[in-house]
Amino acid sequence: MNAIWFVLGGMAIVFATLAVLLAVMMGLARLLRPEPRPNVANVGAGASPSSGQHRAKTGGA
Amino acid sequence: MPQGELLGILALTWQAAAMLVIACGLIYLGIAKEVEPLLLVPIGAGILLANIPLGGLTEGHGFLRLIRTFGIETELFPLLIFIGVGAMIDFGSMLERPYTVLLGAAAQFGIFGTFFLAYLFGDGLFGLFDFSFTDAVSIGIIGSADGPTSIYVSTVLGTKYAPAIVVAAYSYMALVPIIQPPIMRALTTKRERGVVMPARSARVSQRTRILFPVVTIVVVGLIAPKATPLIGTLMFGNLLRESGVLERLSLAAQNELANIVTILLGLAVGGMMVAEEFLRPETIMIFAMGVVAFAVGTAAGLVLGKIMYLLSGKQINPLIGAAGISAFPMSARVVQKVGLETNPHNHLLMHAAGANTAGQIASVVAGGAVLALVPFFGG
Repeated sequence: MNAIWFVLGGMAIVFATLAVLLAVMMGLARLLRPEPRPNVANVGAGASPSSGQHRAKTGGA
Repeated sequence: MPQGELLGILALTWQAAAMLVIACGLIYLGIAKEVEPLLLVPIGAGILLANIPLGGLTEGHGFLRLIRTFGIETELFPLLIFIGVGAMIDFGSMLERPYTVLLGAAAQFGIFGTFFLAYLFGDGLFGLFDFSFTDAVSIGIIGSADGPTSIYVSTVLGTKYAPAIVVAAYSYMALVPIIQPPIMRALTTKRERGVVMPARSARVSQRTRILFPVVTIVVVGLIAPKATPLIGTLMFGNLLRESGVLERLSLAAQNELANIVTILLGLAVGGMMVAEEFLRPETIMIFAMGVVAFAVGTAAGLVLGKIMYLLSGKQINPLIGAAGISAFPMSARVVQKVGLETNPHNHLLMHAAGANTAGQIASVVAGGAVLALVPFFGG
């Protein structure tokens, strides 16, 4: 029985630790999003990075 | 001086001769077949030196005895190696696909499943082999597919089988391309293997990459404190890499530190393989258990991959679960190869690398978990 509890306990610790890490990673990725890359083609064509056209192409972020 | 102390050949036993043959075999595999040469050649040389009769390298103040004492018995070498490993690993593919963390966790069932089998064959039920609870745990850790973790855990637990366990762990990592594909094909359908996954995922910022090692140390350390030495050194190495201002130290960790410790570690492990301690039925069983460990870990990762395939509306290719065993980067490459066999336009490498790097963290957590649990269940 000890061996079964050892297996269950071990897997529980592994999954619990990595689930918390997953939640933290997703939180970090959301909080610290990378800055959108400027759309060089549009800027060159006369659309500024802050124009509506640029926002539409980069998802409006 | 007695004649036996002058001529080594007079003191050569058949067991020592067998170890010399094994040593030459490992050196041959490393050099001629390029099977994990960084490890097999120093280990082979260590075995050769340790088993020359009357050489005295493993006794008293002998060279191999000294590096074993200060590097292995103090658990120093695996931790130093982890600084180098952390500096070499790019966790970006995992950070871009956070769900792959769970595949790394699932594959650690290889450790616990193998422990269970080893314990059943040993003191747990059948009594066929001289495997105590802690010996079985140490054998199970081969399933981490992670050399430094195997050395660390088996040394902390004080098993007499540490040399065989370490050699098995490193040897089977080289055999991942042989062990994994048949299991991958057996547990997945052609349709599942053919699922195309997008090559690009959400980008992560440099700030996230820098914070990741710090956060991981805190999270893992607080939940599984026994894993702190391993995760701490691994993530310290990664912080050197990602900080962007410590290139010199990062390169030193990846090259000089990792190379020097690899030489000393290989010699020390080889030096532990003296004939009287190594040539026994238990060693053969440990090597058999090593295959089981890698197979069970692969299967567990694939099963979770299949569950994700169903839950994601058939968007996730279950093959990437097989990369959840650590064996970095070998198992990710195997996933890519098997995926390409089914669909020549399907590139799974980055997804598999995410699961693979997650497996590296998960194996360390599993190592900490077993060290924390052994006093409760195996004492």
